[in-house]
Amino acid sequence: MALTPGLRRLYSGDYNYLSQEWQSDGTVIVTISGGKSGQVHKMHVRDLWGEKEEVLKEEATHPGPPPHIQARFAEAKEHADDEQTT
Amino acid sequence: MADYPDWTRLFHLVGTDITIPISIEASDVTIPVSIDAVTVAIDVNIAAAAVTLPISIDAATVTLDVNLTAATATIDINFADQSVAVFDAAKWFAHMAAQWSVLGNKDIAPTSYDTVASRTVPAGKTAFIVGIGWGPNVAYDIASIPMFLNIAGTAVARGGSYRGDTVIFDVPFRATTGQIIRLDIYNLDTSGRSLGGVMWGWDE
Repeated sequence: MALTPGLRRLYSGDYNYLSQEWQSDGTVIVTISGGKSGQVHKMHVRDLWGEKEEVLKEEATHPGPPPHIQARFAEAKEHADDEQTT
Repeated sequence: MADYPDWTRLFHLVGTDITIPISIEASDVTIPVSIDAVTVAIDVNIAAAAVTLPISIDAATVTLDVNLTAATATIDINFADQSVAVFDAAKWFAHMAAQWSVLGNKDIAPTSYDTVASRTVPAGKTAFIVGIGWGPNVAYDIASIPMFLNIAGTAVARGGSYRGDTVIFDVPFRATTGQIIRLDIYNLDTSGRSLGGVMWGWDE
């Protein structure tokens, strides 16, 4: 079975941070971030590292500043550009 | 037995411009410096407007061993410049891109153990484990929570306390590609507890 994008990162080592929330049923919610991909992969995995390892759910997000911070960055940059031209 | 002469100023040059070129071309060069004396003082004093001491070593392998055996050793490096740049790229500059940290949590049943953080060493990598930490997630009054660090199913380190701990290894533990590294915690309490742990290191 083909590896999911998240599992590919897990086994290639393309991450700096790995967190594991172990569930009572033996599954684990795995979150990996850092590395070259620039993404955060969150996976619900059964039998992590085992022969019957299976990704029950996976989602990828692109981390970055929240929208209100991005808006402030844009305004600050615009202000700096205006000062340079005057 | 005849006395030996006391040699001083064996090498003394006086001049306006002095150049001492040393050029050696050979297949093997050995320059041994051996001093056998009760006390040894080697003073290098340079007074000049500008001083340049380039040391360039180009070799397939370089070994620079400095071994000091003494009752006391003092190494002073004093910089009195307006700007000083000392670049030590020996360790973390080379490893920053490959650093990793694994953090995990688990509710562990009473008087049993379980894995709170685990990692398979990625393909083609060797992992070096630098440190670990573990403890309860809330302020329990816990009997004891010893930890075991496992590499490929073998316990390589054990520690224990009532509140967990953080340990930095002087010599990193090494795990090879495909091996599973596990941080297990024993919950020796009579109640189930939410426990967590972390381990970190780098890949090469």
